[in-house]
Parts: sequence; C-alpha cells; structure tokens
Amino acid sequence: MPFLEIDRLSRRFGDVLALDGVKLAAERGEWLAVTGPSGSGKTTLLNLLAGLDRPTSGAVRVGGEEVTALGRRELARYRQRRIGLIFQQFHLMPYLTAAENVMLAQYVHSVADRAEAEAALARVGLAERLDHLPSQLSGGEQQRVCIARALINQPPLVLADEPTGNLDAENEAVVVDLLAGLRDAGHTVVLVTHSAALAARADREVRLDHGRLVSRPAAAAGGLRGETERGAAGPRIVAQGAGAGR
Amino acid sequence: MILRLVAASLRRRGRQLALVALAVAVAAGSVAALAGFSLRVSRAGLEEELAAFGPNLVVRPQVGGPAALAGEELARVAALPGVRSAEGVAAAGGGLARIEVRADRGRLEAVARAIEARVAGAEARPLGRVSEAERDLVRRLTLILAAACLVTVLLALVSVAASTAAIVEERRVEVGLMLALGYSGRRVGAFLAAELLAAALVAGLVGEVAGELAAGRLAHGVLDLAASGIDPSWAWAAAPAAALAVVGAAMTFALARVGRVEPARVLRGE
Repeated sequence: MPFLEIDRLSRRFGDVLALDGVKLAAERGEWLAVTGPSGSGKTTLLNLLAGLDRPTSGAVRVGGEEVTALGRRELARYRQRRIGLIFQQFHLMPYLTAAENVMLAQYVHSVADRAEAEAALARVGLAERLDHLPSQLSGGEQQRVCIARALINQPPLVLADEPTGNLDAENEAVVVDLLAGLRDAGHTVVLVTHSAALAARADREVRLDHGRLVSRPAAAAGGLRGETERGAAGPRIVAQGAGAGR
Repeated sequence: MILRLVAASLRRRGRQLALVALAVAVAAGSVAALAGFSLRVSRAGLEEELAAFGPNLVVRPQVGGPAALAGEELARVAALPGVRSAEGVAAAGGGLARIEVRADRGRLEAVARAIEARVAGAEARPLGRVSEAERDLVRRLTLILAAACLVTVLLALVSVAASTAAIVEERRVEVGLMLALGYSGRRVGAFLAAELLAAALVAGLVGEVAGELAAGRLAHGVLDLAASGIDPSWAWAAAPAAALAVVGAAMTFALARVGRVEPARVLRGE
C-alpha cells in the first residue's frame, strides 16, 4: 500500500469543481511535484492532503489512515504528527523570533525544546539568526524558518505550496536543496509549484488542469501512480508518474 | 511557551488590551463599590431589618412605676449576658430617664426580657436606631450602585466582546496558522483568552481598590460610618468575580469566532 493514496478525490465550491476525481499515489520518501496553471486545483489538493479542507467526495489515506474520515480533533492531531507545511507567504508569527516560531510547532506536538529548535534552524543555515524577528529576516531566511518549523516534529509528509514563489534565484536554489534533503531523509514531499525548473528536481511531476490530472510528464517506473477518473462514461485521462530522479 | 506568546502579544497589542482593561476595571470597580458599601451598611446594622428592630434597647420607667431609674440599675443591666454596652440618660428630677442598651442582634429579645425581669417596673422594647430617612437613603444608594453595576458590566461585556471580535479578525492569519500547525480551536481560543485574562486580572485589581475606596468614602460621607479605607473581606471577591465573568463571556465569544476561521482560506489570503 502506498504511503499517500488519493482516491477519486473531488472538491466542489458552489458551481466550481476545483478537483475532479483525482487519483494519485506516492511512496514514502518520494518527492512529488504538482504543477498546473492558476486555478487548476493545486492548492485545493494540498489543503485536502493537510486536512485543512474536506472533499466533496473521494478519500485521502496517509500511512493507512483515512484522513477524510477523521473528526475535527483527530484532524488536528493528524496535522500535529504527520504533516509539515511550507507556505509561499511563510506565515511566521511577526512578534516571535525565528527560534520561537519553530518552537510554536514543537509546542503543539509535545514540549518546546529550544536546543532542538536551534539545531533545526542551524540545519537550514540560520544558526546566526535565532533571535531575529521575521521583519529582520530576508524573504529567503523567512522561508528557511518556515521549513525548519515544518520539519521540527519530523513529519512523514511535507506539503509545500509554492515555497519559492516569493524568492529570488539564489534563495530558490537554497530552498530546492533543502527540499531535496528532506526527500533524502525519507520524508514524502508534495510540492505545488508553477516553476518548471523546480518541478524538474522532483522525483515525479503530475499536472493539474481544471481540477483534473492531465499529463504524463515522464515514463512511469512503478505502475499506475496518478490518474484522473471521471466515471465509466466520461473521459479517462491517466497521468502516470516517473519514478526516476533518485 | 504560551506565556511567552501571551507576553509578546500583550506588548504588541497593549493599547487594544488597555481599552479592554479599562472597561473591565470600571465594571469591576462598580461591583466592588456596591459590595463594599453593602458590607459596611450590614456591619453597622443599617440594613432594612434593623430599621424595624435595631440592636438598642430603651429601658423606660413603666407608667405607674418609678419616675426614674436608680443609678445602680445601669451596672446591673450592663452585667447582663448579651449586653454590649449600657448608657444612662439622666432624668430632669435626678436618677436616669432611660438606659440605652446595645446588644447582640440575635439575643435582642432575650436581653429585653432579662432586663424586665431584673429591673423592677421597667419596660424594655427593641427600637430601630436608624431613621426612616436613613433607611431610604441606604436603599436608594444601593439601587443606584446596583444600576451602575449593571450598566458598567453590560458595557464591559459589549466592549470586551467587540474587542475580542476585532482581535480574532485582525489575527485570522495567526489563528489559521495555529490551526494548520495542529492546534485545536479550543487551544487557540484559550490562548487568545489568556491575553484577555491577563488584562482582566490587572483590571480586576485596579477596580477592586478603586471600588473599595469609593465604598468607604461613600459610607463615611453619607452615613457617617467610620471605615473609609479598604476593608479586607469577602467583598474582595466581587470585583475579580465580575472581571472573570466578563472575560469568561468574551472567551466563549472568542472560541465561537475561532471555530469559524477556515485555515485553508485564511492562509490563502482570502
């Protein structure tokens, strides 16, 4: 059974079908890039994986646990223990220092441990910026704090929404290397991006358009890995991922 | 960690929370003033039931009895169990026209009967020391203070609820982020309420001191009661209880608002 399994997932907002029967799977330690134009449903997919939104139909299973069946409290626990979130806008607490922002995620999981938070920041190259407020950090540094916060609890699934969207080329390279490091450390990474260059660094790329997986970017290495299913009578467009890259 | 969060947030939102604290302090102060005033009136025996049956006994010569009481009767009455003090009022023709006795309220009737038994020809009856005018004054002051309490507590509730709504609205992204990190809505609400609680604690203390001083001055100025300082008693609980009630209501409100925040939409900037 794959670590991450998305089964005929749909999400409707009023008249808009943001996701339309998406089927996708990813193994533990795999880096999956989700690309597509604006409004194609990338962020909706990410929110559903994070348990921040509920699907109209379909299911998401992470490590054998059916996320879409969880209650409110269980969803909060799922996010604490299994998910690391990386945002385009970083979303750091403006009045907390870099170390404290990392400890915020620690605290909800177990207990805040400053030494551990400092080590996490050192791993992303911010050992000298522990006590700086977000306003005193560059965009790239803020994103690295965000990554350290996402990783502090060692979540098996890291979800990154346009993590380089607000960064210059130099900082983008740093963040890409960090994501590759996460994959190498055994985290499953799902990355939403517009950047073809960034997607190319992933193990596999799937493309969404109008809520459906539409492309087959590379030859599949391990059988069916992603598809859009629209029922027996409808069109069936299959996107198979490549297992290459590692 | 939460303390650190609350402290940092308090520093950042000092002005906003100062307004909340002011509203709570005024409400707590008015509650403390009412409680302190009522307590002083109660201790002085000025409440309603004493207007009819006060602690004083007036012992008068009975009609047909002796015209005046002998001086030694005063010592005899003062020695009776339950008598706190006995004071003689001199008669025009010598002796005592009456003896005024203060006794424990609960033993008033028994003391009266004991005096009648010990002093030949005397009639002892309980009298209210408080005049009707004083009683009305106390009642009106109590009503005014109670009305002020009601208004200030309601205003505090409205202002704290409005401030809480504004704080949650302003901090939707923070709330959304905490929910996304796995904090439960209850925990985020408690974190927001902790800030209000800190403000309420300060406000409750300030209100308590101000209310107690006001109660003392009012009791002293209007009713000529001695205690004009701070009276350490159960009344101390009134202001913190009022502050906690206001903040408790605001906390419920905050929790309801936090429950409506959708982290996915908020973090997308919607």
